[in-house]
Formats: sequence, C-alpha cells, structure tokens
Amino acid sequence: MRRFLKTIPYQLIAILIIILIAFPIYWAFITSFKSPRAGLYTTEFHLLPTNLTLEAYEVAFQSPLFLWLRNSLIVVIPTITLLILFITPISYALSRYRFFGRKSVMMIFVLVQLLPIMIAAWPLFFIMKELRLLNLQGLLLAYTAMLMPFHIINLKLFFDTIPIEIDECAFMEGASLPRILYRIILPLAKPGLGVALVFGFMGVWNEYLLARTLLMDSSQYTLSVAFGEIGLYWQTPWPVFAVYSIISSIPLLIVFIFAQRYLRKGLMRGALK
Amino acid sequence: MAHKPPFSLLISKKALLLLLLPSIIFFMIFFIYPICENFILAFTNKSLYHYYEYEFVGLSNFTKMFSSPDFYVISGHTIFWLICTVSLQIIFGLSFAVFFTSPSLKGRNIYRALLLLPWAVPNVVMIMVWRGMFNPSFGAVNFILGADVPWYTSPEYAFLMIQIVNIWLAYPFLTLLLTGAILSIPAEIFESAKILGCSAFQKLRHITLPLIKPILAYGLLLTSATAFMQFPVIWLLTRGGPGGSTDILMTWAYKEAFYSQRYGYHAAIAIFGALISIIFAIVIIKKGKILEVAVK
Repeated sequence: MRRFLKTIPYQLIAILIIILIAFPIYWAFITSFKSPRAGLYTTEFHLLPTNLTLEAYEVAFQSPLFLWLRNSLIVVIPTITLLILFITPISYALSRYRFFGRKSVMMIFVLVQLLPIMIAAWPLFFIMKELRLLNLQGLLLAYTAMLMPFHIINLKLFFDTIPIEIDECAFMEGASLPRILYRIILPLAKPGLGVALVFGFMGVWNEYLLARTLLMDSSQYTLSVAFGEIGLYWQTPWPVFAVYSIISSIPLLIVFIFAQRYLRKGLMRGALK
Repeated sequence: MAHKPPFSLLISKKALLLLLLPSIIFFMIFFIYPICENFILAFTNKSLYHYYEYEFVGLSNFTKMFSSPDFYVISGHTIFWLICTVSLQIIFGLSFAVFFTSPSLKGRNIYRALLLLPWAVPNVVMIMVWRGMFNPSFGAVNFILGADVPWYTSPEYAFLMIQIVNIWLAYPFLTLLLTGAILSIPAEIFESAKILGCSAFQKLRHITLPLIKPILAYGLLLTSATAFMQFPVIWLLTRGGPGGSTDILMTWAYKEAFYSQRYGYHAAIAIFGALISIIFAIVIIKKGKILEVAVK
C-alpha cells in the first residue's frame, strides 16, 4: 500500500504533462465539431464542446482537401521507395567494406546534415525550371536527396549491429552479393528500414520550404503548402481548419501504428556499445 | 569493432562502385550541385531585373550585407534563437526521457506513446492551430491565463510564443532518442546502485548521464542542425514580426528571394546563415567527440 501511495505523485505529474502536451490537439478536435457559420472565427472558447455539429466536415469535404491529400501521397510514396532503394546499397558498402575514401564519404554525409535546406532551395528552383520539373515529380527528387544523408548514416549504424559473420557464411555458401544484401541482410534490418519509413514519411509530410518554392500551381499544392497558404491568406473558419488537421493526420497515424515497434529499436542502435 | 579484412577485400572494384555510385551521383545532382550553384550566385547580381544577363559583382553582396544595420540585429537574434531552442530541447528531452523511464511510474509505455502526440499531426497544421490559440482576443491561451497578453504585437511575447510552439513541435525527437538510450542501459547497474544506497539524483548524475553521453551529443548535433529547419514556425507564426523582432537569418534570406527577388543577395545571406549553423555545430562536435561515434 505504501509503495502504491509513493507512485501517486509520479502519476499526477505524468498526467499533467500529457494534458499540457495534448491540449492543442484536443482543442483542434473539439473545434472541428463547431458550426463554421458562427462567424469567421468562432469566438467563445469552451473546455467541453457544446452544440456538436458535423457542418464543418461537410464544408471541409467540399474544399480541395482530398486533392492536397492526393498530392502529398503522390510525393511521399515514391520518395520513400526511392530513398530506400538509394540508401540500402551505399549504407551496406559503408558498413561492410573498407575502401579508400570511406571515412571522407561518411564525414561528408554527417556534415551536410548541418546545412540548412534554405541554402539549396533557390538554386533547386532554377535547376528544376531548366529540367521542366517544377511540379510534384521535381519535388520528390529534391526530397529524396534531402533525406539521404541522415538515413544513410542511420542505416549504416544499424547494419553495423548485424554480425558480419552472417555475410561471410552466406558468401562461403556461394550466395551472390545482391542475394546476401536483399535476401539475408535487409530482412534483418527491418527496424532500420522502419526508421527510414517513419522519419522519411514525416519529413515529407511536414516539409514546407521546398514545397513552397518548387510548386507553382495551386492545384499541385501538398498539404503543408496548402495549409500554410490557407492559414495566412484565405479566410477559413476555424472549425473547417480543425477538420483539416484531423483528416491530414490520419495517414501519419497509420504509418506510426505500423512502424512504431521498430522505432525505438531502429534509431541509433549502433551508437551505444 | 574492426571487421576482419578477408570479407571486405573480396569485393571487386566494379561491384563496390555499383553499390556506391548511384546514390552518390543522385545526391551530387540534387543536393551538392544546388549548394555550389548558390555559392556562385552569391557573387552575382542576379535579381528580377538581371534575371538572364546577370554579372559577377565580386564581394559586393557580402559588403552590402555587412554594412546593413539589420544584419547585426538579425545575427544576434539568430544566435539567441539557436541557443534558446537547443537548450530548451535538451532540457525537455532529457527530463521527459528520464521521468518517463523511471521505474516508479506505472503505465510508462502508454505515457511514452502519448508523448509522441505532437508528431501525429502535420507540423504546418499544428502551427496554424497554435496561431489560433494564441490569438490575443479570442484564443484559448489568453482565455485560460485570464490575461490580455499581446502575443503578436510585443516583441518579447512574440519570441516567447515562437519558443513555446517550437519546443512543442521539436521535443519528441530527443525524448525518443534518449528514451531508447536509457532503456538500453543494463538494469543490473541500477540495481547495484540501489543496493549501495544511491539517491535518484546520484543515479542520474553518475550512471545515466555518462552512459547516454554519446547519444546525447549526437542528438545535440542534430537538434542544432535542425534549429534552422524550423523556419516554418517563425515564418507562419509571425513572419519575422513585429517590426523584424523575430527575424532570423533564414527568414531574412527567404524574404530577399521571395519578395525582393534579389537572388544574389539572398544567396549571400543564406550562406552566412549556414556558416553560423556550421560553426555552432563544430563547437558541439569538438566538445562531444561525435564524429567518432557516427563515422567509426
């Protein structure tokens, strides 16, 4: 009993922290059930929702919400696929083989992570304009390159934790290099790929600056740009905006639930030894 | 952990290049090349009026930047912003990670999942929701505080607001990273400390912190690098206002490119901003011996 009493302060603090953190999301959630016609900005604020309606959802579903959602998905799915295709061989080589220039390659990949993306944004605009890629396809190429340094280092650290004896055994048995990599090592590296999936997805889903720079046509806007523009320039009632926030987080939640068990295992596993 | 040489020597040069080159070439085209391009752009007068026929103007973009009175104010803001965001993230990330792994807390796993809530909604959306909550006349924050805080018109409060929103968006990363690090410390160490009669603070000071130091250092490096990536927080909340009091180098550079269309000047500012962030990070790298961990 005394031990139980001792844990109560911990529980109280934990619950208080969670309430503070969850509050903005709760606020968005209850706001989404208010009527959008109660003035542009629904003024009164109640901790508990009153007069629940689904009108805001109706209004939101008539806006281009699903177009933006589709655009974001068109960008995010090829980006993750390309990213994993590109980072797997190089991370494997960096982890398994000792060759001239290996350290410098890794050093470069660590250091470029320190560069703010702003430094590449405008030249990318000019390059994509030359290539006639000022659209979602150009954006996804830029995203893939932007995400590569972090994920190469992270996957390399993960490969380091897989014993090299496994590769050697397979090699002795006569397995070819692609076979070792794709049939033996990659299945063992699922947590590492889980990190690439979740962080890549989040990185793309949240990215604002490049999307704002490279996307010219409002029919091509991804969720981030669209919400930024709406919030700043369009007169959107808060309940409708709250609906946007809920709908746009569904894909993120799905990815999280899918990859959550890999996250803790996969992130920086190799660093602690 | 040096691997035995035989296996690593068995690969042919061709196969090795095949593994390395595709990603390196791709990365060169879409990341390194634009950055180099920006370095060239910084020495030209490319702008809306000199879009096709721009010429090299030497260092004049840089001298213009250094002689602008805004420059010193904004650089000061930038450094202050970096120090505040990074230290806040370390404080919150570390204390959450320690608190939510403490064995006295029941239901730790549920709480830890809930801690990641800020990641569940897209950043830009949540920035906009915060924007509404901070609205001085009908926002929830002033309602709950019962006060009339001028969040958007007073420079100090605007800065405070940006820090609050930024920490809310950014703390999960370090929390997750450090939680993983703390959980991978063998439980026996804590048990023997308990038998020896160590207090909770002593355990933290002499066991947890030294053991997670490499990861903490790497996390510090990444947070300081991403402090500039939080550009949308400032941009969408205040646009650098009121009166430029929350401008940092990145928002300034963005304005030069987007509104004034002076691409050469923009490049000079962006390069200078990158320089500050790199110097900041190198200090951390030197102090934390991070590269040894990551590059090994």
